[in-house]
Amino acid sequence: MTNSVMRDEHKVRVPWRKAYLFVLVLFIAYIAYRGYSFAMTQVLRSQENGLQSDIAARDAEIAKANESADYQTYAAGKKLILLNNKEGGRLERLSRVIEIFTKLQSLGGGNVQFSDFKIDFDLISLKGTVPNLSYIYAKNGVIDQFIMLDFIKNVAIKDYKRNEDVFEFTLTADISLDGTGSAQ
Amino acid sequence: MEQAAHNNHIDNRDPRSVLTIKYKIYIVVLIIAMAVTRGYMQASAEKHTATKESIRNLENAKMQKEAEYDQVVKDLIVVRDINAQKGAVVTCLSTRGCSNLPESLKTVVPQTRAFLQLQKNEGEKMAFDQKKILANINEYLLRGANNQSNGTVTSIVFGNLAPVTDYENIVQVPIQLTIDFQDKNGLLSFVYNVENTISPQFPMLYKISSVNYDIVKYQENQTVSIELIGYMLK
Repeated sequence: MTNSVMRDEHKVRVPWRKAYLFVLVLFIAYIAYRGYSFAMTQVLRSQENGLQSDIAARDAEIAKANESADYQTYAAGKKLILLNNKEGGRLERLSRVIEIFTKLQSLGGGNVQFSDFKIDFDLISLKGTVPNLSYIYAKNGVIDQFIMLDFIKNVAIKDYKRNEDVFEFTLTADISLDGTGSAQ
Repeated sequence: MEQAAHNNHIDNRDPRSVLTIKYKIYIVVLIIAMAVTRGYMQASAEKHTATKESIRNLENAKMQKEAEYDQVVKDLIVVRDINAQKGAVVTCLSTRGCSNLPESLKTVVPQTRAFLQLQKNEGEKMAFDQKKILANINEYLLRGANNQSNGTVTSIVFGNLAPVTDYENIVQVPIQLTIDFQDKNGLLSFVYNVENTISPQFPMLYKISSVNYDIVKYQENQTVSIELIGYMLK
């Protein structure tokens, strides 16, 4: 069809020829794209099948391992350990908090007195007594001493009350066993 | 005669008109062909995109599966190594401060402990074998480094045996203990036994749920409530 048209076209200039050629080019591009797309889909499908086979093969091997009672026990124990140890070993935390408490007891001295310690794994609170407020805010005073401790964060003293010749306050702070309370 | 006149008329017709008609027909045919197959093309393009997406997902899934498989292989090697040297491993893990574990097990000590402690614990005419747990508490958890008592148990309360969520082959039993400890060392020794060593005679895996201990009085005698969860194979 195309050859006969071309032969005729040499003899005369024909309207619609350009339009025809344009549509023909479009059609060829269309067919080429369709062919490419079909071929690529076949390639991708074969890749997809390969991946599915690989995954199925690994699944089969994992399922085979799961048939072993020893492996099942080990895997279950491992999962339990991971689940139970999210917050770290109890022994380590107990030892660390006791160590923290002994450090807190050594703070103050002289005119600064601490008492009524309450401490658990996450929080401490204690009562403090100072002759005047300057012992709280002075350089290396109570606040400085506490914020320098690497295991303490979110230090808070909500109120101060005068009681005869002294000021009393209650200090609370979060305990940070992972060291995130280090002073910057 | 009439036929000859007709042929003559065709021959004399303007070739441009004939070609124009031909081109028009070709254009229409090509456009119809493209229109007819358009739906198929769209479907094909969508399939192509979907397959590409599926491959991306499968590649991710394969990577995860490979990682899971590698871990399974490592775990199987650990299980093989534990079983191959079970006696030595149990002896080491039941000894405080032992560091003579085989090299391949040094990075998986908690898992090795759990593997050796998780055992079936079926009791005769009982939901579980309490004798074994009582012996474990009395002769193992409450013993210090020198085999001296690290505390005095004053009460033991067993909860109900229950399956562990997401673990079809494990059951758990809550155990509430009240123990008098002379000072912090007794408590720390008890916790050390729970978390770091194993009892060769009465293996049992525990988790400490809570410890009610006043740290401020760590140098004094204290009665401490400890909640344990004991795990056993079904």
